[in-house]
Amino acid sequence: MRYLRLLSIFYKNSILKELEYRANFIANVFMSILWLGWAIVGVSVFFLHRDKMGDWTYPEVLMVVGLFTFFNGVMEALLRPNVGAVIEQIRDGTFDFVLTKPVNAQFIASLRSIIVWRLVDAVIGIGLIAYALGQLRVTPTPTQIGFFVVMLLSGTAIVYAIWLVMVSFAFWFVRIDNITELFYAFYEAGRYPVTIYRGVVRVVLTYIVPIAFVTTFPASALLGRIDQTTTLVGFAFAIGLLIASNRFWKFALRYYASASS
Amino acid sequence: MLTKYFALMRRSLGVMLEYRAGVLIWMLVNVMPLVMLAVWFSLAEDGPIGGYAQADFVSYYLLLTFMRQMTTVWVIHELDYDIRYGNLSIKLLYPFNPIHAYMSDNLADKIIRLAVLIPLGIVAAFLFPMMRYELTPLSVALMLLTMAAAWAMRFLSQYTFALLAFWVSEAQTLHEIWYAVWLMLGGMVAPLDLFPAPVAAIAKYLPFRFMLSFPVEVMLGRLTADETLLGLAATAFWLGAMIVAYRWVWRRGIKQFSAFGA
Amino acid sequence: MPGSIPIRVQNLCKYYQVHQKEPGLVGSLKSFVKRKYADVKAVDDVSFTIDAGEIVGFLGPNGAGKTTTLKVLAGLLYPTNGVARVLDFTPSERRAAFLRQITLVMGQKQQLAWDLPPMETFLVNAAIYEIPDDQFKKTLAELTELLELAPLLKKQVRKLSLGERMKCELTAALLHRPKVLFLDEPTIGLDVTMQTKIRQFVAEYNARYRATIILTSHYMADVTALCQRVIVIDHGKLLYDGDLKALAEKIAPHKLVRVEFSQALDGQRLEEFGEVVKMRGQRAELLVPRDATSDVAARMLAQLPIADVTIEEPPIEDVITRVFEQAARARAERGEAEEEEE
Repeated sequence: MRYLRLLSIFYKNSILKELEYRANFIANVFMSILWLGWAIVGVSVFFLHRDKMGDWTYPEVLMVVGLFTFFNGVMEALLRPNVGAVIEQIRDGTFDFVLTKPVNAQFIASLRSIIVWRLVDAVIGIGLIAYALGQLRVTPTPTQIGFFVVMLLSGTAIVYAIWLVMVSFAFWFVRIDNITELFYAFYEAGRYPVTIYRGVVRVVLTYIVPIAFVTTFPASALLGRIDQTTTLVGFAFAIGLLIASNRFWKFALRYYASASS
Repeated sequence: MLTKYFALMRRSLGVMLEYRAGVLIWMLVNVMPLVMLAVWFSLAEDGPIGGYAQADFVSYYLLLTFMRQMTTVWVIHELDYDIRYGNLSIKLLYPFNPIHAYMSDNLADKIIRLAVLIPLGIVAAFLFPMMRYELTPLSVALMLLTMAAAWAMRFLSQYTFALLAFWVSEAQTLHEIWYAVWLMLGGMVAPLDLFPAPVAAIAKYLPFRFMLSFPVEVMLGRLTADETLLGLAATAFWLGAMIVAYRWVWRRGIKQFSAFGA
Repeated sequence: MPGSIPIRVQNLCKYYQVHQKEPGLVGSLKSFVKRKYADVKAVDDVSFTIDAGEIVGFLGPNGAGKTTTLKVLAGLLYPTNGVARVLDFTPSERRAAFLRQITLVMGQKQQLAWDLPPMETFLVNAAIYEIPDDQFKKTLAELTELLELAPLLKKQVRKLSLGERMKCELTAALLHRPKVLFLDEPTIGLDVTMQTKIRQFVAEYNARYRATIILTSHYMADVTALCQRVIVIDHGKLLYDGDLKALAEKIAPHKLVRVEFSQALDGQRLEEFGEVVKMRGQRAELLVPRDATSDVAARMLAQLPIADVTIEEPPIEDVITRVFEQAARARAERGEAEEEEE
């Protein structure tokens, strides 16, 4: 309850801050559309030459692109300004103020701010998913929607856990402000259904940098391609990662060196 | 000037070696060509796509990875920051144009990348024996030349976009648009041959191709002599245009900077 | 009753690993491949206790270990060894009940949101510290009055001057009425008037809430104005812990005698009374052994054409410099000097 109240104050402040830079809104909408274009071009080129990617049709792949765009928005709005900013705070020492507050440090570090404009991407992503469903002339069943929501939440949790672990490394190596860029580099692979990848790449994208859980699996859920078991496994995987990342974060905190000046 | 470059590069090298984790991560960040390779390689399993078989994709994207690494430029972030927070004033006190300081910084990074990439390239040659290139002295020389030009164009275009920070605060956003188009039309998503004919026909003459994939195309031996010559002419044209644009913006920007400060 | 002592530190140590490299490109390459590390003893076997309501000044040159000690006490750093107890908590556990009773103010870092008025940060902190509404209003009103904040509350932080920002930082840090305050260079970069105001405020807060305060500052004026007791740290070691005045007596065996003559005289005759540090026209300053001051003054009055005479403690900056010089000499004798060079 108290944490909810804190959250509302945090977000109110973030929105106030964003209103100071209104021009950013238009720039963001424009960029979102451009990046969506880039993502669509990336798959369309292929469909010029073939009519199926693996066993995915064009609208089905568009759903994956929609999820890719959606999560991009989520990361930009919620992860980059929070967990992503921790690295910078560690470097200039202002992380001190997070640690001296009588509130769970992970809570503050993870949820203090939100860049609302970036949610534009999330909205566009959902729009694309809806469009793809329309093209497919499919109405998902309530069960499929249920699986989809579970997978979406699990995906969010997984992405968050990965970010938290990445950022925790900054407690040892102060100069790794680019580690989140590394994640984005791998994330690019999530624009395509994971089933098209072969061998090692697929294993990496499913279990090591589990981007499959973020884009492919929710799309599969909506298309009725995964069952209860897969959904549950995904959910359990997400919970496991959350717990592991929390442990790692706590362990890393001990190595905080608190840069002076 | 050359001694200054060596001195500046020495310092940059020192700094980079100090932060080794950061340097290695930056290299890993440029894996997008490999991601695209994984995609096309898997997709071409059932036969060539638009004239590209699996082996062709391997040849294309592995060399493209090398190009991507060797033409990596990040000056937009540095210069935009320096202009907006007034750090440029310090660099203006150097007895030479500050662009040389940023350039030598970038070249130092290229030395480190080469040191890592050459051994990796040898390993790749063993791992992927299907790689096929046109290995003649002329094609290699042309590749090195066009690669240098690609780097210069990437650098100059970013630098010029960064200079817009003299007037607007969204220089990085404006550059992002340019960057997105570069990714699409520079041969990253797919070799330009795979694009719809009308798009490919236009993209062949736009600057983006010469900022990434052209040196690779030279090495793949898919270009006719005429196409190669035309490409070289276009490279020269765009490089010249970017130099002119940079000079023009720089001169006006400095006036603006000294008139209003930062 | 140990519970009444808010700060207890016993044999506290905090070591850092720092990687070392030889100069030049070859050195860089070597350290790129393989790194050598060395322990730096930021805090080395330090013990002290501080009573409720005390204001204690931490003195020491840059890198002496003052800030590190402060950060261990605030729970930011895990000690390598030894015990730190604050308000009967172990700081590094960072219990909410502990954090609610302390605060950390750093002159070089800010917690205020840059783009918003300070009031927004105050409200966030009110929620974080669970300050009841009426108490928040009351505390804020008090602080507003003490620090003359009223015109600042609705301005954007980035538009405030450095001094104004520091006032707001203090407010943000004190809204929850902490019992223990860690102030790290709170007056750094401020002009003299603002320094005085901050000082007065700290004294007032201490008196009003009987708060325990540890202060580090490079401005001796901060310390002399606020602290009776000082703890001197250098190279991580505690050199002195006690009364500021007693430190001067212990370290500086001389007092400063300032004289003004009614007519010119030659310096030669003055030498026999003490060490002449300054001689300009008809004014002079002499260092006189502490025990002999009254004696010497009497003799001077009798033998010289004196218009005015004052006896003072030597400037505290000089005393402190002397402490560190002595410590450095002692280290050199123990042969520790080379260790630093490495």
